[in-house]
Amino acid sequence: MNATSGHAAVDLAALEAELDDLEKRADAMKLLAEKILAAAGVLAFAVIVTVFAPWVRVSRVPKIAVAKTVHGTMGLGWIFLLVLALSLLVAVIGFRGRKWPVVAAGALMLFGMGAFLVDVMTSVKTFHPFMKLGAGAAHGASVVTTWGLDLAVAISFGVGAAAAAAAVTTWLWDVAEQRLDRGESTLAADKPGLLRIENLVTYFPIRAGLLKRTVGHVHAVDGVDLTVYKGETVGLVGESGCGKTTLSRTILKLVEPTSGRIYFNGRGISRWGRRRMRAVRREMQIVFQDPYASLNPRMTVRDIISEPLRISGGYRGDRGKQRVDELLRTVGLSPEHANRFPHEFSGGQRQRIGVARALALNPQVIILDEPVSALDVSIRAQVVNLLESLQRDFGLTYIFVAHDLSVVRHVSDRVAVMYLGKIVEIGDKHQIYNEPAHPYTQALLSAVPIEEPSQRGKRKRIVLEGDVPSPANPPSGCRFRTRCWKAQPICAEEEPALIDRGQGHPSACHFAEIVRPLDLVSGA
Amino acid sequence: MAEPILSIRDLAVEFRTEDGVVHAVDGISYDVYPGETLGIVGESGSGKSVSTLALLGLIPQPPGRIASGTAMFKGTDLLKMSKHELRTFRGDEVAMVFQDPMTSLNPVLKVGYQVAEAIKTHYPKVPDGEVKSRVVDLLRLVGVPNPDVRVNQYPHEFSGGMRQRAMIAMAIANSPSLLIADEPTTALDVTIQAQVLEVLKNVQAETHAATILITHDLGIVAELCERVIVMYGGRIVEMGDVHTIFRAPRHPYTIGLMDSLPKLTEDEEWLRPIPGSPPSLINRPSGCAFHPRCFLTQGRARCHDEVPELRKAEGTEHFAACHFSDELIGHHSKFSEAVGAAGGQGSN
Repeated sequence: MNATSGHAAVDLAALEAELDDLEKRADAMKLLAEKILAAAGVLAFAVIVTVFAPWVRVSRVPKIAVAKTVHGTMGLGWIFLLVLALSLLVAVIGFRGRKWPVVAAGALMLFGMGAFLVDVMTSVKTFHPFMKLGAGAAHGASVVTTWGLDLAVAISFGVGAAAAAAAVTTWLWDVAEQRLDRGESTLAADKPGLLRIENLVTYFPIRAGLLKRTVGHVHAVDGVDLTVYKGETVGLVGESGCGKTTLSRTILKLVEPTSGRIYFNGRGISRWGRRRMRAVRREMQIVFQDPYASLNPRMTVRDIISEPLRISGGYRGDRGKQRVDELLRTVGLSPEHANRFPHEFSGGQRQRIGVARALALNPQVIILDEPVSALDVSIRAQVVNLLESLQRDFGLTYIFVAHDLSVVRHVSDRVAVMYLGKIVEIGDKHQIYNEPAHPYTQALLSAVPIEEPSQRGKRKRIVLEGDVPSPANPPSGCRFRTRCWKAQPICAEEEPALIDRGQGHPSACHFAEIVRPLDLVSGA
Repeated sequence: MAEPILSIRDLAVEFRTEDGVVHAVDGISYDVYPGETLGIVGESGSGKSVSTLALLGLIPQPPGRIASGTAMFKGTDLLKMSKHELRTFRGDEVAMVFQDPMTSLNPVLKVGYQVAEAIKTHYPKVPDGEVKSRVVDLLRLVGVPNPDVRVNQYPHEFSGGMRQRAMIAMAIANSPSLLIADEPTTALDVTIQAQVLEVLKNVQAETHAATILITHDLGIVAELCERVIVMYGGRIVEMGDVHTIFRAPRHPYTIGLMDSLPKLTEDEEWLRPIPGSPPSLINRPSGCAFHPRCFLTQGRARCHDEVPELRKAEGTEHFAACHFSDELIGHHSKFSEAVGAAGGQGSN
């Protein structure tokens, strides 16, 4: 399986490029299908209003007469058209990136429209609207020659065409999606690490105005590469709004990535849907920050912990009960706690329950999103120790998201520093804490209060000017340049890549240079 | 030492709840001296905020009740003041900076107006022009860039750090002699926290106000304070000079607190947490509230029979409320060990 020859490597590179193309095409098709569907929805609504809603008087046309004719002679077509309209509604509401509603609605629409047309042909016979187009009201029955019916036929053609177009685009999208998936699986076999993220981008649309049009994007995660190896802890640090939480959620696909690739355990999962992700989430779990909000107050601890077991089908009577008891003991609670409700527990105990829930399915990777920041200092250490001993016992891999630099140093093997959606520096913890090369890392470290009063004023403090810029409109070039004391014209023009600049680990600064902000300044 | 500016004796605050009476603060006494920075450390529920809120009459009554105590501030008892008297007092002689700058500013009033209000309330006769220039000066003092423009902006146009600066400007508007800062940087990011702490330091150098800094972060105490009070379960467990307490703590809780903190500059295999969880204030452990979690108790009956008094160590201003604090003599915190280690690292 391993591609060792140069030829294979070239092929892989070509495949990567092809996948990027495919990704663009698939996304374009998805967008097109969405738009067509919306248009068809509007049309179908128009059909109903103009023809089949006798109580709506939009013109002086004797609607009731039209409706009567239609009702009286075209029962079948009427029903199908209603079905059509409803199916469109379902499709428009239920679409959201899924394919089956489009296909189903498209088929229904074609069917309903066909029936409607057949009905019109057979029951209206000689004065079918198309026959008398331009000829005026030839027949005495002026009721049928009103423009209402013409319009209905024309619109239903439109709806049918739109439905067909949506179905075709969706099919094309699906084909592209399948090719992408095959390509990603091929690439995945070749990726290092247990979890690998390539050029991951997550944007959130900013919607404004009456029509909720997208006026911009929050660049929450903007091109992140990260490899996580088995058994290690990667710390993700940064200030609020730097995208560390969004990144951790995108990895689990609790948030859909805008673009980029996620490879996990030999699979390319970046474009996987809900159902396929369920299998992945068995192996990759998350512990949330707020132990008060992340446990359902109406469920007992047993229900909370066994929920993943039930969903994955592993909860069967006694065996499930034993598993919950075992999990409770593992996280330092006792099995008697299982029948209590979350409100009966303190913050630290709740966080233990959250950890037990994450452990339930024996995952390989656990994403810890600020797991201790809501806890009191004396409790924090208990939970940190618990997490570390669990890692040793079960060989877990952690992604530890936190803003507390001391805690991150304690738990991590490697640390990635994020600023405005990008990793600005990454390395093992000694490199990051003792030899930081990026000015932001240096400033961050120097901002932590000194723990020892006798060292007061003996550390060089870098106090940053101003605040983090808005992620909706990040600065050009290097994103840190607006607060950086080293900034030069080049920083605004050229974005620094995250590469090793001679400091032994990658940093994204044109002027990377090791400074030791934690060392004491002698004689100060 | 000089005369204390604020002298609290035997302050007790209770809250009546459905589950019983919460003894949030249980008979604490301390002094604040002019110009000093006093840190009050403790975990949530230790009573550190309530004890200062009570001084300013900010405890909702009911359910709260000040059960006992006096708080002499410049010769008057704050706890005996009427609401009206307190109103003239708050924001003038004693001012407060709250934790959450997002919720403590009024979103529909301009920042400049809110700062000016602090002056106008106490000194209505000051002409408007003078107030306005004073507000701009205050904002400049706390490091708000472009104060001329910023006075006319609304809180939503300010970032978190800037809002907290505005809060500080408001608090020092009338040059108070006592400034109470209740977790002033807890809601802020570390780089912004550094900015705000810098502002607090500068403000103190400028105004010479005595400052009570309430925090749960020992790092901030180490950085800013001269004296520290450690609270646990509504009582003071240790009080003294910051250097003494960090070097040689005399209460097992303080020791546990320091031990459980991971260090920024060193690697440790395991942290040493305090076992158990903080006490319920309704059903507080008898005797010393810390005894169920304490490593020093060793089953001795005295710990759960008798509430330890805050005792002064021989010849120092270092107080600890532990029956067996003498057994801790010779114990050094991991911070004092670190001094040598870090120094060694630096020179090598």
